[in-house]
Amino acid sequence: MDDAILKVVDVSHSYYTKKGAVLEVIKNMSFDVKYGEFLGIVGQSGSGKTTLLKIMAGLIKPLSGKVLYKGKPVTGPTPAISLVFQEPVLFPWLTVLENVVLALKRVENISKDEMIVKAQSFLDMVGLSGFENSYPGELSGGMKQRVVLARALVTNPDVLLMDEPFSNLDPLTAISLRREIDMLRQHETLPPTSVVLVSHNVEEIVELSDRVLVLTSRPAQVTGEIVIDMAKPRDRRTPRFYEYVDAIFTLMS
Amino acid sequence: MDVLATVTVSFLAVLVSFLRMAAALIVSVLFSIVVGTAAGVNKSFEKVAVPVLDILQSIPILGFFPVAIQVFYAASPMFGAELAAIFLIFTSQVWNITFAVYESTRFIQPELLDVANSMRMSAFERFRHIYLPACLPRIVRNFQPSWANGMFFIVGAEILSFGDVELKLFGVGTLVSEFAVAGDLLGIVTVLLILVAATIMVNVLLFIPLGTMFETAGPPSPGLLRRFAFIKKLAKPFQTTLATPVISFFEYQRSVSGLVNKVSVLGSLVRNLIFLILIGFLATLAITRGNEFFGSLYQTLGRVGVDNLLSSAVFSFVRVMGAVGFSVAWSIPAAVAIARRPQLSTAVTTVFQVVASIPVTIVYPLFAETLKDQPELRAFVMILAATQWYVFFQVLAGLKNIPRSELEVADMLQLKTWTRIRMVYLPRALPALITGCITAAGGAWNGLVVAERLVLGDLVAETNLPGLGKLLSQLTYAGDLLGSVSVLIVMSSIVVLMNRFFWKKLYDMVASKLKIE
Ligand SMILES: Nc1ncnc2c1ncn2[C@@H]1O[C@H](COP(=O)(O)OP(=O)(O)O)[C@@H](O)[C@H]1O
Ligand SMILES: [Mg+2]
Repeated sequence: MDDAILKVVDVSHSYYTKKGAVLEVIKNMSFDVKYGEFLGIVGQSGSGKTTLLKIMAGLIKPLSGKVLYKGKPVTGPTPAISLVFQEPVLFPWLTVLENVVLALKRVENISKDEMIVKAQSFLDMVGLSGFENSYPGELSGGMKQRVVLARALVTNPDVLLMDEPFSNLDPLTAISLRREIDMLRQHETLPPTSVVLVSHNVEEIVELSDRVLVLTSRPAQVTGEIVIDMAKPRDRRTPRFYEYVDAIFTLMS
Repeated sequence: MDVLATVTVSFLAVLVSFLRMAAALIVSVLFSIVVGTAAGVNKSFEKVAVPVLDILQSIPILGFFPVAIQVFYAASPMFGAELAAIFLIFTSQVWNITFAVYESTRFIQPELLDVANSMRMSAFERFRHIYLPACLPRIVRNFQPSWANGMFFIVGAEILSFGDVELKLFGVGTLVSEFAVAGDLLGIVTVLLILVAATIMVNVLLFIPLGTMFETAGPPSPGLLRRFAFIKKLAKPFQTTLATPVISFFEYQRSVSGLVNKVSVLGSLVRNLIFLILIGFLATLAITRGNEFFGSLYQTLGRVGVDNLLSSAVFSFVRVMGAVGFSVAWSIPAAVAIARRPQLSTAVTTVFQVVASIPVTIVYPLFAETLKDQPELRAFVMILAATQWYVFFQVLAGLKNIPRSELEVADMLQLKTWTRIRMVYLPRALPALITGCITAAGGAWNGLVVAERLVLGDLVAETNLPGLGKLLSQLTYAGDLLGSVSVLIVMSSIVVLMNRFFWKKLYDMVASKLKIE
C-alpha cells in the first residue's frame, strides 16, 4: 500500500482575468502528502499557493489533473480535509462556540448537545476556555485564528491544510500559535494525521515542517524538496536551522 | 377608428410621452448638476439644500400641481400646459439624481482636490475635470429608476387639473384614458404593446449600456506620481470607475436613503411644517390675493376634519406596510434563489428593471373591468408596483455583496441550504433589506396618490375606504390648496417619523444583533 494520504496528480489551473486574458497559476504539479507528516510548501507571494490549497481541499476544481484522498478522487469539500484560510473568517453574528458548532452541522448522527460538548473541548484545546460566548469582533487576531483552528479540527480531519496562518498575526502571537501547533502535533491520539502548511515565510516553514516542497514563481511548479531532520521544538538560532533556510532560498531563486 | 389609425395615434402618443420624459430627464440632469454640485462643494448651501431636497422628494406629484399651474400655466397658457407637464415629470425624476450628484461631489478624495489646488485649477476647470466626471457614473445609473418613477406618474402629469383649470395633453396617459372611457379594448392593447416595445428599446439600447459603461477595470492605482495621470484619466469621464454593483434601483435607493440619513428627525419635521405652510401660504396668497387667506386657514382644518385626516392616515399606513411586507415576503426567497447564479441574476435583473418601468397606471385600463369591484386589490397592486422593486434589488445587492471568503467558508463547511441561508445569507441581507424597505415605503407613500385614487381623465378609480392619497387627490383636483397642504404635512410627517422611530431603530437593532456597524 501507498504511504500517501493525499496525492496531487498532474494538477494544472488557470484563471481568466477580467480583461479576458488567461493567467496560468499552477502547472503540471504532482506530489504526495504522506501519512503522519508535516509538509511545508514554500513559494513567493502570488505564486499560486492559495489556489493549490483550495484545489486540495476540493473548493476549486482544477482545470486538469486530480487530487486523491486515500486513493479516491476529491470532488468537493469533505470533513476529512480541513482548510484554514489566510484570513481568519468567522461569522460576526455567531458566538465563538456557534462558529465552531457550524462545522459539525454536516456530521450525521450527532445531537445538538454532543456538538456543543465537542466544540467546547476543541476550544479548550486551543486555549480559548471562557470565550465561548464572545463574538468574533471582541477577539484579537490571534484568538480568531485559534477559533478557526478549533473549527478546522473539530470534525477530526485526517488532513489539515493551513494557508499562511501566521501572516496576519503580530510576531509574538505568531510564535505562541506556532508552538501550540507543534504541541498539538505531539498528541498521538489527536487529529489530524497530516498537516500541510503553505507560506512564503521560509523560517516558519523550516521551524515546523518534516519535509519542504519549494515552488517556482507563477505558474507554480515544484522545483525542489528538502527533508528537515531536526528535533522539535526547533531553535531558530542554531547554524543547522540556517543551513536549511539557506538551502531553501537557493532553490527559490 | 380603423386599425391603422389606432396604431398611428398610439405610436404618436408613446412618442410624445417619451419626448416629454426625455425633456424632463435632461432638465433633471442639468438641475442636479448645478444644485447637487453646489451642495457638495459649498458647506453653507449644503446646510440648506439637503433638508429642502429631503422634503421635496417626500412630496407626491399631486403636491406640485398648484405650482405647475400657477407658475407655468398662468405664465403662458400657450406653452404653459406643456411646461407644466414636463415640470411635473421632473418632480418625480430629479431628487435621486440630485442627491447622487451631491454625494459624488461631496466625497471626492481630498488628495485630488489638493492636487487641483496645487495646479491652480480655475473653478470651471475643476468642474470640468473633477466634479463632472466624478458624478457622471451615478447620474447615468439613476436614469433608469428615474425613468421608471416618471412613467409611474405620467398619467398625473399629462392630465392635470386644479380647481377650474383642467389641462389634458396628448400622450399615452390621455390616450389610454380615452380608449378606456370609450371601452375600446383593442386601442388599449395597442397602446400597451407599443409602450412595452418602446420601454424595452429604451432600456436595452440606452439605459443598460449606459449603466454598464463605467464597469471597466479596477480602482485607479495610488501613488503620488499616478495622481496627475488620475486627473487626466478623470478628464475623460467615460473612463472613471466605480466598484459598486450596477443595479440602478440600488443606485436609486442609495441616493434616497442617503438623503434620509442626512437629516435629523425634529429638524425635518419642523422644516416640513414651515416649508409646506410657507408654500401653501404664498400660493394661497397668490391665488386669493390675500383677501380670504386667514379665514380659509381657519376653515381648512374644520373642512377637512382632523378625524378624517387621522383615519385616512391609518388606512394608508396599513396599505403601505402591507405592500412592504408583501415585497419582503417574495423578495427574500427570490433573491436567495438567484444571487449566486450570475447569469440568471443578470437576466432577472434586466427583465425586472424593464418590467418596473412599465407603468401600472397605464396597464390598469386593461384590467379595469376585472378589478372594478375590487378597489382595495387594485390599490394594493398599484402600491406594490411602486414598492417591491426597491426591496428586491436591495436584497439582491446585499446578497451579492457577501464577502467571497464567507461563501468559501460556507462551502468548506458544507453548510446545507437552509443552514446556509439562516447563518450566512439572511444576516448579510438583513441590513440591506431594511434600507430597501425605507426607500420602498417612501415610494409607497408617494404612490398612494395614484393608487388610492387613480384619475385617468374621466376614468376615476378610487378605494371605498379612506386614505391620505385619496384625500389628497380629491382635494387637489377640487382646487383646495390649504386642504391638500394639510394632507401633505400629515403624510410627510408620517414618513419622517417612520424613518426615524421605526426603520432606523429596526436597523440599529439588527445591526447590533448582527455585530455589524
Ligand atoms: N479568483 C481569481 N480570479 C483571477 N485571478 C486570481 C483569482 N485568485 C487568485 N488569482 C491570481 O492568481 C495568482 C495566484 O494567486 P494565489 O493562489 O492567491 O497565490 P498565493 O497564495 O501564492 O499568493 C495571483 O496572481 C492572483 O492574483
Ligand atoms: Mg495566498
